[in-house]
Amino acid sequence: MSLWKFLTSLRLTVTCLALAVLLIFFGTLAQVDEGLWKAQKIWFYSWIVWWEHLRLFGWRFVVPLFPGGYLIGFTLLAALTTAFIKRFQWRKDKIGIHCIHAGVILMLLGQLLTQELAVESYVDFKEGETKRYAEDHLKNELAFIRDAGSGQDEVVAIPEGFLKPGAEIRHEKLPFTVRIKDYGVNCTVRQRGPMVDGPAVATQGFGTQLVVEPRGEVTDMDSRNLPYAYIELMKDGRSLGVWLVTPWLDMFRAGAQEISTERGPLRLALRFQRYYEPFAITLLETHSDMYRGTDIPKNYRSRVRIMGGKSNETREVDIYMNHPLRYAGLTFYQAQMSPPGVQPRTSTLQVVRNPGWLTPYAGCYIVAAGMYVQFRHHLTRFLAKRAGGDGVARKGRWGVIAGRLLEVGLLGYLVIKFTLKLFGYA
Amino acid sequence: MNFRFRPAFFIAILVAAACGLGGCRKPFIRVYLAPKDVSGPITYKLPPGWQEATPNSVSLVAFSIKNGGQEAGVNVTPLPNLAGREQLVVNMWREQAGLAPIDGEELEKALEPVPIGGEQGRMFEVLGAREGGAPLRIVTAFFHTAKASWFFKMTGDEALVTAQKPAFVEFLKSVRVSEEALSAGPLSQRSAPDEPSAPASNAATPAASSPAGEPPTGWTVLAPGKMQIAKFAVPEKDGAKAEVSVSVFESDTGGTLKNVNRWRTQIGLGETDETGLPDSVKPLEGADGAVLVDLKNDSRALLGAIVPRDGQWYFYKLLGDVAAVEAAREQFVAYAKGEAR
Repeated sequence: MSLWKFLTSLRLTVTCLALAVLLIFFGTLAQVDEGLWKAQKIWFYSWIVWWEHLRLFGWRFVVPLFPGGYLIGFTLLAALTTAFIKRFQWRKDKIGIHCIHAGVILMLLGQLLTQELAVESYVDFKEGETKRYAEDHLKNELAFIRDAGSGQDEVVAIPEGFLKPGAEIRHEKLPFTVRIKDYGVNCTVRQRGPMVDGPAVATQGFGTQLVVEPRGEVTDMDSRNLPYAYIELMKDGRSLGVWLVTPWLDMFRAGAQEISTERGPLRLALRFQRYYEPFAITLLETHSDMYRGTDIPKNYRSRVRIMGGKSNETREVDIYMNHPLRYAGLTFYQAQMSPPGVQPRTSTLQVVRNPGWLTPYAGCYIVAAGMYVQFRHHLTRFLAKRAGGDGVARKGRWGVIAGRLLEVGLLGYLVIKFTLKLFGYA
Repeated sequence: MNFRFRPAFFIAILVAAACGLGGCRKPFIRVYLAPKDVSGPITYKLPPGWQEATPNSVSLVAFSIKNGGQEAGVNVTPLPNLAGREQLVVNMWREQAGLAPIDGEELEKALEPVPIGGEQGRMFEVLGAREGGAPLRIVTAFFHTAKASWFFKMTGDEALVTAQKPAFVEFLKSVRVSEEALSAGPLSQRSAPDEPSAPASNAATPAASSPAGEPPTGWTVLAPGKMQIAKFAVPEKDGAKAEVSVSVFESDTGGTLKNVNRWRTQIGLGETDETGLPDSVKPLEGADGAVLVDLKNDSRALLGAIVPRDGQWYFYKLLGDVAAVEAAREQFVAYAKGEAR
């Protein structure tokens, strides 16, 4: 059997759909052990689920491998597309079927686009605080920061994935080589006891006074991993010292660790990965409602001010449940808020950049249109056959026109209503 | 134009797209320009030897300095614009150091110019004594913006404060304040950046600029203590002294009985129960839901008022010698009701 024949077979599509059902079932249950983010990565954002992950509640699978989300999704996409091409016939009674196929293909492409390009981050701020960046709660970066003048910093941000023990990192913007001596995905730190803890690994910076205690990776939604790394900076084969970097230093408000270089001081920090935006967002006011007599939140509302951006505008907006702010390609959702009465008042906004956010809606429109056309065609043919005439003769010409106008008006109303709702105008 | 569909070509495109998919999220080193961090309404360069400390309820940031058994502290406090009321401010700190107030002419001599974050500020020093007699030095610098008056106060052991004055001046130069961050709400609602969240029952709402209007005539403004939003000294009466303090909380902090018992212990009285409450608590006429607490123990007296107002609970306390408390009773009650006299 040729590959073309294999891809266009109905069996492949049905098999993919069955595997997708199983994948979703197992991937959802796996969240109990692995947590949401890790389970998604293992089961849905992968080509193959390897044997070490094929266990649920301590029971191992009998198969050594299972197709991952990418493999099933991409095969299904290929099968649908090839079948669409192979069986395409330009006939009036097939338009609905073509639309349904095209809509499903678009939805699959939209999901792939979302998985690959969507970025999720958070803005945490106190009332009165202004932020120009959002932070990724799952990714960290080793940042080297230099004063670039004019109120700006030049940042060289090395992703956490580069921090492997023994790795050496070079970059044209860095006047030294960064050698990773040790790295851990999660840790706690404590003050060094000089008579108890022996010599410090770090020879420079705050790390000389601290002891790192590595911890296992946490995967539940309410916890964060706080990684650490001991980095040695090398220049011309000579060590400039070993620094401890960890987000804990930020939390202790220890201040910046600085290295003197020929081009001035360079600050270094291992911090949550940042995404800077060309505008500033200020938290003006928080508002939280609870159901009377309970601590159960009813509504969280943040009033924010957006300043800058391409049009250099200033506007104040309320963000609350089911009422996100869409601005500059980003969507801001109300995520968390400090409990009532607790000072300082804080709010957390989830920030989503998803260039493909419209594709599922467009796909749904096309599928709905295809289904409507297809069912309408069959219904009309069925009614005509039962009536034994063409319908026009029975209802009269004006009856047909009135029916068509009513149909178009109703459909147009639904489409416009839904579209306006989608863009927040209704 | 003849178009012939080639399945092999199409499959090759699919495979290439699938391979490309894996490379989309490959991490890489980013280099970018970013605006400098402004973590709150104020940024600064920390002088060597200074350590950040927990600010009080009205300060934004605080630092502690320790050296050889001596201690000093630095507080940064934004208040509503006090331009033109410098004499009041200086005398408030002179009072804290046990010194007599000064007049306008002496004030001009006492104030020296100092740069604060690119603005022209003024600075004065007060040398006095603590209650035990130990020398106390206070160095205060301030400057006014359109929205606020920013106060930078270093206080502590005389020798240490004198030694740290150059570092304090350098610190003042490095300070940058953000008007934008302050514009988000009334100054009175500013809270310390990054201060840990506190449970509701313990959370003091930082000062309203004047919790119940202007204080009555004759009362002297004092620096408020922890959890307080205002503090005053009432006029002495034959050597008898008393002070008024005001706190605001988001809740009634446990109810009237609990607060009455707390106040009773402050003047050496034992706790009471619900049946004993009416002996010392009566409604505060003219203020809905408010109560007036009247306690006395030998020469000490305490007048308290618990006033629910605008969804918050205001706690007024007049504590001191009986004669001074009785003399200020009428003014205190009016003040608690929001009627300054």
